[in-house]
Amino acid sequence: MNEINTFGAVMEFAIELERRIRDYASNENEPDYSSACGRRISTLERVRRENVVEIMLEPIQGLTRERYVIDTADHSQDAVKAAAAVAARYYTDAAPKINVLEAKRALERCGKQHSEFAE
Amino acid sequence: MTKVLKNYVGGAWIASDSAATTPVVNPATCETLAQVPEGTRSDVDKAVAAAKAAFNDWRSTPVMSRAQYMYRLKTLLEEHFEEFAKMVVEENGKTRDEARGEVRRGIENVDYATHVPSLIRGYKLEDVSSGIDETAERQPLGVFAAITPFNFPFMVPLWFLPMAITTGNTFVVKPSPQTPISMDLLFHVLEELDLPEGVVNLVHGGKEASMAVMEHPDVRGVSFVGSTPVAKIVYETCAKHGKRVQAQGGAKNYIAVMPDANMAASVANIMGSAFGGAGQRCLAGSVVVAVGDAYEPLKAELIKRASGLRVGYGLEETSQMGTVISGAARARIEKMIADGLTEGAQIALDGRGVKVDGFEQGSFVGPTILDGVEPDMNIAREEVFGPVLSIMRVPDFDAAVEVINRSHYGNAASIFTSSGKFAREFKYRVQAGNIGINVGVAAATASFPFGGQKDSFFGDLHGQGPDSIDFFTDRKIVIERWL
Repeated sequence: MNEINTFGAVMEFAIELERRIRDYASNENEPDYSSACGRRISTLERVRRENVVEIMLEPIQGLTRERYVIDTADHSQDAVKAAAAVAARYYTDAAPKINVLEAKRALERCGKQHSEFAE
Repeated sequence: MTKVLKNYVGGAWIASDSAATTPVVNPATCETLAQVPEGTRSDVDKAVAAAKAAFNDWRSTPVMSRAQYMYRLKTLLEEHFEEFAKMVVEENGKTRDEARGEVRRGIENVDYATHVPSLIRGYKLEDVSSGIDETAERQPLGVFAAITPFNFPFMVPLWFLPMAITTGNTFVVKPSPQTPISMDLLFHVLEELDLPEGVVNLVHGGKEASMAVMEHPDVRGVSFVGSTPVAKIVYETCAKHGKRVQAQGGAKNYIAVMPDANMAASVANIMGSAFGGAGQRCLAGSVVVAVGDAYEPLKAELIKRASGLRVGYGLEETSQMGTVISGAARARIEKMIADGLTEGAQIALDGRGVKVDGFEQGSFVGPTILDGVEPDMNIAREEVFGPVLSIMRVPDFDAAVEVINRSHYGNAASIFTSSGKFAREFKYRVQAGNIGINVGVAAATASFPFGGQKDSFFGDLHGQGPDSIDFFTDRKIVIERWL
């Protein structure tokens, strides 16, 4: 499905993006950035586990997977930075849709880290 | 050949004395996940005997040591978090987010139990008479048991078990035969704690096992969550047999929406309340009471948002609503919808007969909205326990409170408003045990008792929070003078 329409789907897609970029960055010889993706995966899994509170689960609208495609076939000089920019955009779009403060904060932090790398 | 679940008694996995079993079915895929034994009185006898034998040593285990087991249990539950959530989806049918929420809420109760050493302290008064001191000491009572429902197969047993054993009691869980596998998994985790044998015990079964728990002379107290008719039976039977009892029954939860409410935000929250867990929650919002001019915009927004909900298999992250528990439940819910229409309600959104690609045999009922519901209709008064939301229109706030208070249930009620005056009046006047102010699911967290009034609760002390300390301990009064 292309929709990212639940708390779990937002977090799952973030983890999926991080995994993809981690492997991509590793292949493109960006070990530090790849390791940072690994740390973010652990953080996102923990935040999902600790902050999914049933009373706050509301449907999410306006996010689709096709807006955040990572081109792992691109081996140009700035390719990893481009991937980081895609991830940063996802976090920027997703964070305001999450009504659980800790999770929102974690997404914003992930976005900021990708942004800094992309610049 | 699917696995036949075993009982956990005295620290060992043993087969039930009954050869008869019932299939545990995934309500979305219709796959048989396991066979659950139709446990017998003798199964319960063994579990209670093991719990009774373990009690004296366990109660004298220092409370700090008992609490340490809860710290370790929390760690293990965090490690197995996703495994539990997946199992809850598979046996219950709810969405993965809802299952994760359930597991989180269960773990919160383990967190709370780590605080027992500070919660269980007694109190003392010197010189109540010349040279005489008086003390109230809390003591555990013995064997407690829980009979738990299908809708929260992981969380509800954890409302009781951690507090019961950390306060020094021993425990027997009898889970719903429709969703017993979460407890099977939990007891495999509990086994890793190396608790003394008999401190925690698991018995599967249905009515016979439940009656055996309620009638057993060595069980000191029973916690129950289920429907109101059964809760009444549990309350009466336990009382007759001299036990403590906390029996939580069904619900019919009303949500008042004032014209001054933030409609978009309110409706988003009401969606979760009415359709979360496919409406199979004792806190599910079931009747929206639209006050005055709130009616038209509320109705329009409810229909728009509910019709957009994605119904699907809970293991798919994008599913926003899962199944009901069984085909029988689906048939019962669909009949209640039909009966509501016969009574004069109008269908605004019809979830009957919904099919999900790839899961055509699944027990799905789509979000359903009935309009024009009147207070005297059966659909407005009785619990549906499914994803059915009724809309009722009243002229003003007082009329809303009157309608809500006419219900024989009193589990939860919510108001959506931007007025502090109405919010205050609502919580003050409405006869329900859990009140939501701009919150559709007023679910008490672990350090608060889970409320409930009228036909929604039978007993004195609620589950969770400080009430659980009172339920699982007795206060012994010591009056002393040293001559």
